[in-house]
Amino acid sequence: MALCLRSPFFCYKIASISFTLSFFVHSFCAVTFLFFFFSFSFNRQVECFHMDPEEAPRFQSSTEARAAPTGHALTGLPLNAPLLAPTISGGSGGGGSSGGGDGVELSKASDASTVKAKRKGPAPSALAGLLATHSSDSALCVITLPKKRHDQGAGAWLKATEELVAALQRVIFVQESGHERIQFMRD
Amino acid sequence: MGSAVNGASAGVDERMKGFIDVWWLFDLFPSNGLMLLLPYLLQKHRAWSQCATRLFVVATPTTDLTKLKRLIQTLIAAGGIVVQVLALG
Repeated sequence: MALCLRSPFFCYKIASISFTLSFFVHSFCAVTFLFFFFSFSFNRQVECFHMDPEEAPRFQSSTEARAAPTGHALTGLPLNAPLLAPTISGGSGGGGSSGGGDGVELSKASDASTVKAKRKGPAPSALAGLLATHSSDSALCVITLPKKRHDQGAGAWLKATEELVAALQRVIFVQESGHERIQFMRD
Repeated sequence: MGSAVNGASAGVDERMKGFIDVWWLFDLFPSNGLMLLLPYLLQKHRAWSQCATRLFVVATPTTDLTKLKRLIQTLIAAGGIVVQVLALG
């Protein structure tokens, strides 16, 4: 089924679907998701990048909105807090670089350095270039739905969103409602 | 959504290979983990079971990537994920 995941209509559709999904998660938080993290058997790769938020203004609001109070934004980066303590039970969260317990191991991290986001070729923004560089060959990308700026029309927002993911094969946009709640439990 | 799960333009029986990339843009643990839940649920389907998940974190230039890496390690250790943390230069 040839379905254009990047079409404006599909952006709206994905947004509504993701909202429904988040509502589902929120509604059934008591039912408990049986800590999907603990059953991951595949290797998950984490890569960190630096980028000026002004290069991605539609995502900048998330850093402002969540700055220091919750400690979830990357700008403040208060490292003293057990970030997941309120939602994760089990007590293995304070391990730092040690193993996660219960036979779960963490591999040693490599030395950290910086990846500067640069505008490459025809990419409309640094973020789009970053996405194209690292995820153009990926089967699917899961990205936060960009927020619409106050001075931005709906059409411009859709066009910009489409340009952002133009180089990607498939995209799921996730719009955060703020009420998502996932409970982690050990068996 | 069903089309996305089944591989969009691919046939229902076609198995996707490669990566499912999750991008955290200037936010840590957005949607309280929903963005990580999605690839996990997708991988339960046979079409996506061959895919591995990668997590990309984009931070502001003022962020100390070493601390960020440590924070993510803590975060992931809390979830018990086997992971390789890479901060590229």
